[in-house]
This record gives sequence, C-alpha cells and structure tokens, in this order.
Amino acid sequence: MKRAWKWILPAALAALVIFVFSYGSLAAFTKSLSETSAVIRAKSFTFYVNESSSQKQSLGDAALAPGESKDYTVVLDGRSCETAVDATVTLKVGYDGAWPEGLSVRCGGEDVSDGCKKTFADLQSAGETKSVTYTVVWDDPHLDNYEPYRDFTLHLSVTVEAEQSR
Amino acid sequence: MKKFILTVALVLAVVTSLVAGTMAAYTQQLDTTSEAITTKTFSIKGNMSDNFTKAIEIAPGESVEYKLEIKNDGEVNAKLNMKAAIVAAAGDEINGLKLEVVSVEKITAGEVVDGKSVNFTTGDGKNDMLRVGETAKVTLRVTWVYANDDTTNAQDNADMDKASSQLSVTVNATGLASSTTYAIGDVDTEFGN
Repeated sequence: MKRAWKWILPAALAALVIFVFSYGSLAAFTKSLSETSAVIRAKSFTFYVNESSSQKQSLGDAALAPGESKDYTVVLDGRSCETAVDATVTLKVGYDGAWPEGLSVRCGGEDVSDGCKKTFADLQSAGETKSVTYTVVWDDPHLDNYEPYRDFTLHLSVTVEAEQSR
Repeated sequence: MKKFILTVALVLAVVTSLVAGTMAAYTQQLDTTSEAITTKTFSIKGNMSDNFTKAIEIAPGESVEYKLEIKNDGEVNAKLNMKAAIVAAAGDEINGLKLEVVSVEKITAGEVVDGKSVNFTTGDGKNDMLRVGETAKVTLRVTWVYANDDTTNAQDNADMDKASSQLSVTVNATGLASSTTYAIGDVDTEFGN
C-alpha cells in the first residue's frame, strides 16, 4: 500500500500540472457582441363614430306623427387610425305593434325598412369622414283612423365594425 | 631516467601553454534580439441598419426588415455564433410577431424556432470561417402576421394597447488558430561582420 502511494501522489501532481498548462494553451481569443433594437410597437387604431370612440351610443328617441320624418346620422371617422381601415355599417330594424301604413326607413334614397349593410373602404387614407343618414319617414296615408298604430314602436340598431384593411 | 621524463613533461607543459595563446583565432560574439512579439488584434464589429435604433410602429400584416453586418475587423480568423430573437421590450410582447431570415452571406442560418428566434453560425474550417476582413451579412424580417379570426383579433387588439417587442442580436466570436506557423527558415536572419 505504501508503495502505491509513492506513485499516486506524483502522478496526481503531474496530471494537475499538465491540466493547468493545457488549459492555458487551449484558450483562444473570444469576443461577444450584443445589440437590442429599439422598441417595436403597435400602430394605433382608434375609430370614431359620431365623434366618440365609446362602444355604445344612443341615437335618441323620437315620436313621429303622420307626415313627419326623423334623420339619424352616423359619422364615420378613421383619421386617427395609423393603418388603412374599412368600416361596415349594419342597420337592423325591429318593431313592436302593427307597422304603420306609409312608414319607411330610407337611406340614400333606398327603402331599407328590412335593414341593410354598407361598407366604406379605406377611410384612413381618404382623409375625410363619411356619413350615413337613415331617415324614418311616415308619409301620411290620410287615414280616418290611426288608432291601430298607437302602440307601435320602431327599434333601429346600427352597428359599425371598423377593421384594418389589408 | 626519471629526471629526464619529468623535465620533458615540464617543458611540454610550458610549450603547450604558450601554443594555446598563439593558437587562438579571431572570435566574435553576436547577441541578436527579435522585435517585440505582440498579440494580434481580435476585433468583431457589428453594423446594424439605421432602423435598428429607431422605434418602429407596426400593424398586423406589416413587416420591417433589419440588416445586420458582423465584420472581422481584427487580424485573426474567427468563428461566429450568432442568435437573433424577438423579445419583449417590457412586460407583454407583441404575440403576432414572427421572425424570418431573408438572406445570409458568409454565415449559415439554422431553423427559426417558433417564429421567434434563429441561430446562425460560421464554420471553423478553412472554407467557412470568417476570415480577416470579411463581413457576415444577415437580413431579417419581422412580420406581424395578419389573421382575421376572433382569437387572433382579440389578441392583436390587446397587444395594440400595451405590448411592445424588440429584436435582440447576440454574437459570440472565437479566434481560430492561424494556418501559418513560423519555422526557423521563415525567420529572416542576417549576421553582419
């Protein structure tokens, strides 16, 4: 056993010396470089309807008599968007009671009493607002009795969907 | 007889000592010292396109290209390991950003991992190392992928408000052993008179 130690210790020392010298000779030039770009952010996309960006708006109630009409205007403004934007305006019409004779909903000269959908393209680059006007018209049918329409209520729902155009 | 031998030996010793002086030849000692041996320079310089330092605004469907150049500006051939990755600038990152390799020169691109990171490397062999004076060039494209489905739209809208990302580039260069070794014969030695 004593003999073995005579060899182990010098051998271990020799290995250590060789390792130290090898480590030194294996080293090479090294250099590191690290760069990070400036921030990448999302372009803004804010669309205004009737000068408001809120999700819900009330266009207001109205009471009509025969021969009267009421305009509801929806103004579309995509000028604050930093991307091209298309807007689709959908009108849904509902009602309670009996539909009065002579009553209609019109848009651009067309009867849209059953609802309609209209798309406006590229509102941002157009650089101006677009508007859609729905007109509720009650042409007076000159009836003797309007009593059947007393409880009639018209519900107009307009949805504007603004979408980044490709 | 002994006297004779002793006398001859003494005479020979004296003669030899005298001859040693007269046998000496011209001698000259030259001490030469080499010029200073210094380390070669090892320098890697990165040059990024101008937009690398400018804040970029991007929308779904849009992309931005970055050009990166890594020049071996030193005196030692090098092996490069490089990584490019889209990382969050602070907090949330823009989820829809995707990294693409448009072109490479003097360096090889690996596969893009999850559309977010890619590794590049030069070899360390004679033909694919980055030699002194050479420049490795990489063009990367970052695209905000356009997809019009409810899930993606919701994510994009959320990212629009608060997320931001950056392109991170890390280069590690290792000097390679020179192919030229100096033998004695290469040393220009001249001894003057």
